[in-house]
Amino acid sequence: MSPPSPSKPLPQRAAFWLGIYVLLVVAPLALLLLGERPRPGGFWWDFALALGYAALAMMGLQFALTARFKRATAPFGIDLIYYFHRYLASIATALLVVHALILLLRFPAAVGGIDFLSAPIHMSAGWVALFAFLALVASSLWRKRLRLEYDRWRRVHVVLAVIGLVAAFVHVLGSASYLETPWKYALWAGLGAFWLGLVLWVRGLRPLALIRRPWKVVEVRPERGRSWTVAVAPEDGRGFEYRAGQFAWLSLRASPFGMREHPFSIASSPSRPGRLEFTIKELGDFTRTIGSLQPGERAWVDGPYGNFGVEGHEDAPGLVFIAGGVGIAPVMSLLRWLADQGEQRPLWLFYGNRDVERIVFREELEALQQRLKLKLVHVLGDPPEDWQGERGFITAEVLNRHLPGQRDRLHYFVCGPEPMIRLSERSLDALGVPLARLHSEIFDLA
Amino acid sequence: MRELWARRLAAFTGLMVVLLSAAFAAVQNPPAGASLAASVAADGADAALLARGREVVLTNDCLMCHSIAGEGSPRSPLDGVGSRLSETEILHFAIADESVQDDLSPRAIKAKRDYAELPQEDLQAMAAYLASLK
Repeated sequence: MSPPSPSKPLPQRAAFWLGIYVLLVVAPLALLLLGERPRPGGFWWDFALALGYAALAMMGLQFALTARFKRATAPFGIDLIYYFHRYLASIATALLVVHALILLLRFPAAVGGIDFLSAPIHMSAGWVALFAFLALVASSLWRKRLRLEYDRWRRVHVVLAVIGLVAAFVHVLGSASYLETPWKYALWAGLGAFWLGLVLWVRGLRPLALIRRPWKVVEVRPERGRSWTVAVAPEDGRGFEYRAGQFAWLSLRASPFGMREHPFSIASSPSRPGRLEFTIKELGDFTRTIGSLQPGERAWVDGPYGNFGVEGHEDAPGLVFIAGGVGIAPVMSLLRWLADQGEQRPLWLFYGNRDVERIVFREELEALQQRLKLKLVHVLGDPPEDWQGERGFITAEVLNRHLPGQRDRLHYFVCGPEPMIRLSERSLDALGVPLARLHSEIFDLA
Repeated sequence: MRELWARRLAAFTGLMVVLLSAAFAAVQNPPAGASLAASVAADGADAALLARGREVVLTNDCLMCHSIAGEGSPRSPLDGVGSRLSETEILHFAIADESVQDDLSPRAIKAKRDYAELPQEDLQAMAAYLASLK
């Protein structure tokens, strides 16, 4: 069985990778039922142990989800994969808690107390794994509330994940409840080695490949709305293939080994090769330093990723873009690309901003109206008194006022924070647009 | 919408894992496999020796792998062991003596290795206590 090629239809590719995913969760546990099995321990005993095994398989898979395998993530969109990773981690941790609780409450003597000095190593490892996974989930779900800076959180995240996984495997291989048969032991030991190998690949080998291909900053220019456009070019002068609307992980002022890379949408168009442009808003500790970058500084680019784009929708009679703030970056890439392609279809851009001075690319968007059949609808949250345009949020009423009567065959592209995407979905649904025609990318992955 | 799908798929995975674990436990525990009833009888043996033996069992993590009267790991219950094995055989199993190693898994042999280091009196008391479980 080989992965379907990128030319296969999207649902077929998605089904294939979903199948692989389900198999990876289910198979390691189901295989333990084959061949010689240990004596039964009663339903709750075996249920609790099986939950522990299955939850560990889910946890191991987390490393694969964030390993940025392009082929596997492309049918879904990597933003969705990261959301999936987040939900799955909470569920797997909850299952591990249930595993521990059942054993603690029903079989306290078999579990023993939390005693790192005298308990068997594999039992202490089980507690270490559970606490590491709990800390991992808590620090991720409440990162902003805990005021954990993004780069520091990422390092803590990887360290906790590796500690949790190693400790969990020490626990499983030490207690070896269903692993009496050598091949079963080898299967689970191999699984553990595979997941840890993935970490090594993601954190060691891939940065090594990146560091061999350095880029340099060639331009830093201020934009409206406390944003900056950073242009980078590969030092070796070789090309970089991407599609309009994609994004990349950018490392600035830190080597790829430093885990200080950040995902940013590419704002430039592939029709103008030689350099990549990222438009970045000053939002956090790292992005506030963007303005001090100097041309000539080193950079590294891991990408491209994502499938937010207009290619494959050539049959659509028109395209509608909905963006908020700096979420305009990938839309800008698409508009620049469409203009260079001589696009003739009607286009609409609904662009939400706080006020008129914060409209990133305001002048260029006006200029693009000369090259494209683009209807530009600015929606301001805090408009000036003499503002004649739309105000508030990009609601169904706003869309309804500007879109043509036959709107259900148009394709819609939304890029912004999660609440904005939800509002767009509700609005388009209310206007009778099939949601299959809505393409979105969640802008805030952190 | 896509985010909702991610949530649904994660919830589906969680549900699938719970059901799979329940099915696993059901396959492991066919209905006919009734658990052994525990019966602890002193049978006139020295009550103090048995009490010490029980203490040895409780303080040396024996219940991490075995259970007595529903207490401890249920997979290898010691209830009734006194009617199946003699006191000497029990002692041999407790310390994974060479004479019984063919009946033990490598993991069990490894786990029992340390028990041979226990004081002789403790081992005798433990064997006597276990032999009283009939």
